Amino acid sequence: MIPKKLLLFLCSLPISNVLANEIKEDPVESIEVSEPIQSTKTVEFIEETKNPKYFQNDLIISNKTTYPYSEELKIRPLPKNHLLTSFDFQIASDPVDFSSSLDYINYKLFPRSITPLIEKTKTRELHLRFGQGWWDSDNWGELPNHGINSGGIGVEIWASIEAKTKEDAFASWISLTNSLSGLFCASMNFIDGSKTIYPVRSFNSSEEIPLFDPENNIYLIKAALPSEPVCTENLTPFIKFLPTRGKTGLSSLLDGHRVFESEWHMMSIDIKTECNIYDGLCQYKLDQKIDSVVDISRILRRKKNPIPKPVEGSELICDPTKPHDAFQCFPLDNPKQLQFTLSDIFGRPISGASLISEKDSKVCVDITESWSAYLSVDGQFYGTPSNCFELNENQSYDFFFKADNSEDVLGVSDTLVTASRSLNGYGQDKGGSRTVFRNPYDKPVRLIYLETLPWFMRAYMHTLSIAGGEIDDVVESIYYLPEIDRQRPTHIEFELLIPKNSTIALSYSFDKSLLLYAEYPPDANHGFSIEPGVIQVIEPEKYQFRTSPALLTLPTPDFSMPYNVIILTSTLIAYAFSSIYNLLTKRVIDYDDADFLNTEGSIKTKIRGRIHKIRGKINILKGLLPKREKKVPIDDKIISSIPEKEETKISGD
Amino acid sequence: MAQLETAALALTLLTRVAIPQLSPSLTEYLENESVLFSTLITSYKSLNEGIFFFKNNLNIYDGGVVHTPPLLIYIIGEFFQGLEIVLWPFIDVIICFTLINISKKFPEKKLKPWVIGFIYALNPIGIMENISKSWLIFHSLFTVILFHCSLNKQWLAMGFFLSLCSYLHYQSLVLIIPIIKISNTINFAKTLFVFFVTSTVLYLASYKLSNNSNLFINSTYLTSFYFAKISPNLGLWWYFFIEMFEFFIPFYTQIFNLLQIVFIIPLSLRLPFQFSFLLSVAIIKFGNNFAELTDLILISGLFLTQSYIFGHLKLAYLGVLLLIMAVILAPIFYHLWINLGSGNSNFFYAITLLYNLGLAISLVDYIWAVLQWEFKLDTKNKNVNKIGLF
Repeated sequence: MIPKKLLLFLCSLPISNVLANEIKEDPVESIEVSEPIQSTKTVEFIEETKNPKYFQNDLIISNKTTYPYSEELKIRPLPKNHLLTSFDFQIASDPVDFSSSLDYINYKLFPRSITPLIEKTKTRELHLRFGQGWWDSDNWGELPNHGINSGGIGVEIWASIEAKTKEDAFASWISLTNSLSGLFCASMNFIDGSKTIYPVRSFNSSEEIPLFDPENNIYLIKAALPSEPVCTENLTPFIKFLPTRGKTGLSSLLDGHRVFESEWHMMSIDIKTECNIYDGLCQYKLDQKIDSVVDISRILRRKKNPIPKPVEGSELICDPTKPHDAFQCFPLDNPKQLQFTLSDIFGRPISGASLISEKDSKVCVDITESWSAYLSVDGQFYGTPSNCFELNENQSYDFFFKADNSEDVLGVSDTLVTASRSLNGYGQDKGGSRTVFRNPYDKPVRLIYLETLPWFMRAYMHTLSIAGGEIDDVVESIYYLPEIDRQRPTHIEFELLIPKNSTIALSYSFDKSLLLYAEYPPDANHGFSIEPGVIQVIEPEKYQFRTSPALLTLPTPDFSMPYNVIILTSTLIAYAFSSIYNLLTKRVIDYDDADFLNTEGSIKTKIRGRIHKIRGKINILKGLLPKREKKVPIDDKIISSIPEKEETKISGD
Repeated sequence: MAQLETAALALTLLTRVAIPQLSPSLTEYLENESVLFSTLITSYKSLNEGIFFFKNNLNIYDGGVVHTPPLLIYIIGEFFQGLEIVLWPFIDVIICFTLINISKKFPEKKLKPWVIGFIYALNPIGIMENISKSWLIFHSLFTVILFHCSLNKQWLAMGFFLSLCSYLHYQSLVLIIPIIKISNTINFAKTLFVFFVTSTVLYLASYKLSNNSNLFINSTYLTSFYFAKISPNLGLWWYFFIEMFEFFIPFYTQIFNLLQIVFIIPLSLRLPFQFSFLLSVAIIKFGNNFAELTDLILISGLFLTQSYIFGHLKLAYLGVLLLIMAVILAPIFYHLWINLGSGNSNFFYAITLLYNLGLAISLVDYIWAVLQWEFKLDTKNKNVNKIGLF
């Protein structure tokens, strides 16, 4: 049945139906195609579909048949010449009745590589985050999309898995993370029990998760790898999930060099299973997002001078509020007038709209009147009053931006509350954690603060204290699951109520464990990363953000002398053991007794006497035996004087 | 005499109550920072965490932070919360009192009982150890009382206190072997009966207190048995297990557990009861995986009661000086390693090695002294049985 399944998946790709029918008629070929997901055959086949001819054919059909795919790019200037670009790609699979046993599922554009994982592990929701950099919430305000699509630094993954028991869910989870690890070239295979938590109040999905077997439960499982470097190898599989594969459409802008050069970037993948109550049909929905913040002036400067050079005097913009003449100047960092194109930012223009999507590719620019944005096609500039553009042709698009006053941007929505976490204490054996929440507004904020601490951080909850408020007023409830060495991390969820206009510091102390020799990282390292705390604001409105990861230095043993340690300790044991043994088997006596024992009473003498007796008996027995001819005794001296040949003669006798 | 003894007890109480009041920073340091006076198993912090869990109806032993036996958490949390600054000194007073009484049992005593009381009261290590509030002091208390009862041949009480001892520190179970030596079948059956009854009650109460689960066995006893938690302490093993190759660890775990008990039977066979008892205690403590200075205080206290032996010691100065040196240098080297970073762990390891060498030398020397004493006693009593050995 599998070949058929895969066959229909292939049909779902933008190929002409004729081609699909041809394969259908030839089962042998379909088997060849149906090798493992990443087999070269499949890849080649997909490559073929990018042949422009097919697209031309497909275009005619796709004018009527559309695919459940849409893409959108939002561009929004931020203060201090920063630019936030948010890509949003949405794909849905065909609605199918999952509960009945199916021979095949038609995924259409839905990425084939991910579906077997989801089905095998019964994952109903999967969320992946790859992030790097620091979001400056003081200047940039709230995270895009209320922080729902943002994760912490490094890799973060959480999933809702349907399973009978927690153990089954965990097994599925391990299988899922291992597979994703291969798929995304990330170290998710290092996720084990000691990094996994089961969030209680955080990360709860607002929508109901479908359950296909009423006897099962949904288990929400989460893990993070805060020290994972996110890089191009994570972006490539991300783009491969898209039906346009970075060749056309908005995804053609995504170049690893530019995305990872940004001040902050976040890649997110959310897969959901949605079911329609009325017809019982379910479908997968995939939402892929990339948000990044770039420093425009830096990028323009680099474009102009790839090798950094001092700015020429004529180009310096001096601060008018301070004295300036030909010899002195206080330069302003951020020029207020800006002119740039989208290809300046991303290194290339949009190479054609996505022609297979349900809706046209959409680009929206959120700007004030000081800014203007134009679509540039073939050297012609077009503008719209809403600053939203819909692209629907197969030609190169670029955008041109102009700002008279780049500081005049749409007001950022301020974050409801800010949080920063730090580790304190000076020793390597213990320390404290302190998280400061600041609520500058006139409304109290209710939030859930989730912390996952590695097992080698032994937190003491009785030391929990609150500065800036009463503990009973601020801490509404705590969920606390302490660590188990090498098996489970510490999992704390605080429900906090931050009063209006206040700053609250939450602190507790912890001890650090020693690890075993082999558990320390082999290379030079600057410490262990503690994953970012997750803050989920419930009231007055929903918002989610994270603290920075923390760095923990552990007490380190000296690795240079394991043998010495083993030898020295063992020597001491040997000394203690042997001395005690020696003394316990001895008795203190005076000289007379000692002499007596040495001559008559000692074990030695007794044993000797026994041996003599036995020998005597043996000799008597020997005397009874028939006598043999005795060998001629040979004196050593004689042997040494006799030449070798003669010696053999004698011995031969 | 009695007045001087009372004075010693009062002094014990006074030093242990007054010093924390005079110097709160010392108290805070000893409770939280000191590596010598408590380990992660016995620390006051860990006990408090247990009490916090207990008060909040959390499952105390579903985690790796609390290793305190449940009954101790319950009793201190329920009845002595806020009274800790009096409870610990009071325990020390009882220990001091029992030690004085024990020393009175031995007629050829060299040190007068009140001297022992004063030594115990003014021992700076003892005072600091008390201020650090390691709960192992309860084990010291029960061990001392057990010794007292067995000298008085109080069979029922022996069973009771042996059970309490082993409840707090499972290795103490082997102290039953020296007890066998002094008891006949009927008396031993009495002791054993009380021991089993008490142990069952303790177990059931613990089971009940830890939310009807056996997890506490894992956290309190098995952690110790498997050397599962590794943290710097005065013992021999922590560094050994860090540096040991992983596949040898199970082997050495068993070796070291064996080492703690292997001498108990020979000691009991060879030496008179009082020595076999206190040397058994010393050997258990020497091989202990989470060593702290509470052990040293207990051993030295017990040794002091047998002061008539001291004349036969050959290496007393060496042993004592080694121990003093280790006790002074250990916190310094620990500070160099952990806080300053100018020394590494080998420094601290070397000093723990020295501490254990000091203990080993003292132990061996003490056994030698006992043998000497035995010999003197024999010759004095003129009942040397020349052939008796064989």
